[in-house]
Amino acid sequence: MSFEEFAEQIRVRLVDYASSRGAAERAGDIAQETILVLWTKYAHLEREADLVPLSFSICAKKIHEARRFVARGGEEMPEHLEALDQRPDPYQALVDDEVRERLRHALRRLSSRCKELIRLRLLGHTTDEIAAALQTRLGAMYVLKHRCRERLMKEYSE
Amino acid sequence: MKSPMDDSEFAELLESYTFGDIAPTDQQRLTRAVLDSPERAGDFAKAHEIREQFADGRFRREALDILEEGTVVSDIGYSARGIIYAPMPPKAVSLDRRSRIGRYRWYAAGAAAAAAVLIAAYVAFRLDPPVDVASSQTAAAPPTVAVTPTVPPLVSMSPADTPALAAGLALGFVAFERPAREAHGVRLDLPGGRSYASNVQVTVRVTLDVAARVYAIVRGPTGLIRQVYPVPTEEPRVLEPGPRTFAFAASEPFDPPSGGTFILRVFKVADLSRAAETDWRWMAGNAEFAERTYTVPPR
Repeated sequence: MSFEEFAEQIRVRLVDYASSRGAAERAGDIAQETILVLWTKYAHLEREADLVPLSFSICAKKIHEARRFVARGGEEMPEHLEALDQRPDPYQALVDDEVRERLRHALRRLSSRCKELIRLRLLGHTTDEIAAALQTRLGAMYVLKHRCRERLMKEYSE
Repeated sequence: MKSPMDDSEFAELLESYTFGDIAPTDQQRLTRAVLDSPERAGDFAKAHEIREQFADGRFRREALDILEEGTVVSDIGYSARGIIYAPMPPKAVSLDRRSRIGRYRWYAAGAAAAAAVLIAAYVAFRLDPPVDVASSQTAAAPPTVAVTPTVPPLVSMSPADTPALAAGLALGFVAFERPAREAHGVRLDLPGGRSYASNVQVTVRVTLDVAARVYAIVRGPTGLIRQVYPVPTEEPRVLEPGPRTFAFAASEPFDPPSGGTFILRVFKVADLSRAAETDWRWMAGNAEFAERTYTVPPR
């Protein structure tokens, strides 16, 4: 697949993503800016498996930039000034904290069984090992994994 | 176009992706499914956000601490608009005593039955002739849970285990697979030293013995690869023999806030007929290069 074909497919997904993150008015621009970054900085990447996750990461940054733009009352920050000022961005730090707080909150809300499952997953244990540790059959283990992931997503999204 | 992947398989792959242990071929299938379906793209975006947080060693450690907490503690609320606000209200407690008793009636009956069995066993034990207490205690010991005690290091993840930052793998696998050794035709100096704050520019002095094209590539602590010279939008130029200086940002927004060690490789392409920028694999496998490392402290 050429980059142009990929760009057309990912653009639609990024517009949806930006819209779902409260940036519906600028979703089209955000998607375009994301693709521009991909084109200018990551042109050496070819596989969708590399490009898709990176697209969402860049798009998330662009959404935050758009919010910041609105918070400044629409005042455009000249590019060259941003390039010069590379100190850690307090707004970005706040955004990162916010995302982590959501995740902390979600982790605390899990059942003790899901907590243990995710803890063992984060420690790098295999499904077989976790099934043994939780004293459950492998088939039931897959169901539990699915439920825990769903629960984590739900709590994270609320 | 409809994706051939069913929902249960998608969920399974997404779970593996979230925790960073998805196989490369599965990740390819997963991302294809994401491109084909808006609903799946939404799920993927959330999983990706979580994966990015878990990829950071410090947060991962903190998450493990939270998961080890025995009780649910929700003292900080969160609004959908992203504002951290007042503590969440406590859960409503049912004041209907009869309904609560009803809910736990079977538990109570089970506990009573278990107690009766224990008492009966105790009485029977007392009536039987004395036995070897030590051996009976050993036999009654509960089975040990087979949890592997070894804990893998939290921050030394392979590039494939990292989130979006694995994006550079296409080039990174080849650009960094050759072991570093002292190159004779290209000399590399970092006049600013070996440690830089994330917001600081790293100045690089490259000295060439012959005219050549030069490509500088940095690999971050999580495996993210980026080209820092020439800027990808610029045409590569042939540099004359002698010293040449360029600079680039020590870290990018996609590098982890926890900092780490960065590896800089500067490739020299003396064969000017080669269009290295369109043939990375050739360059990474054949061109002479010099390597330096530098560190970035946590932001």
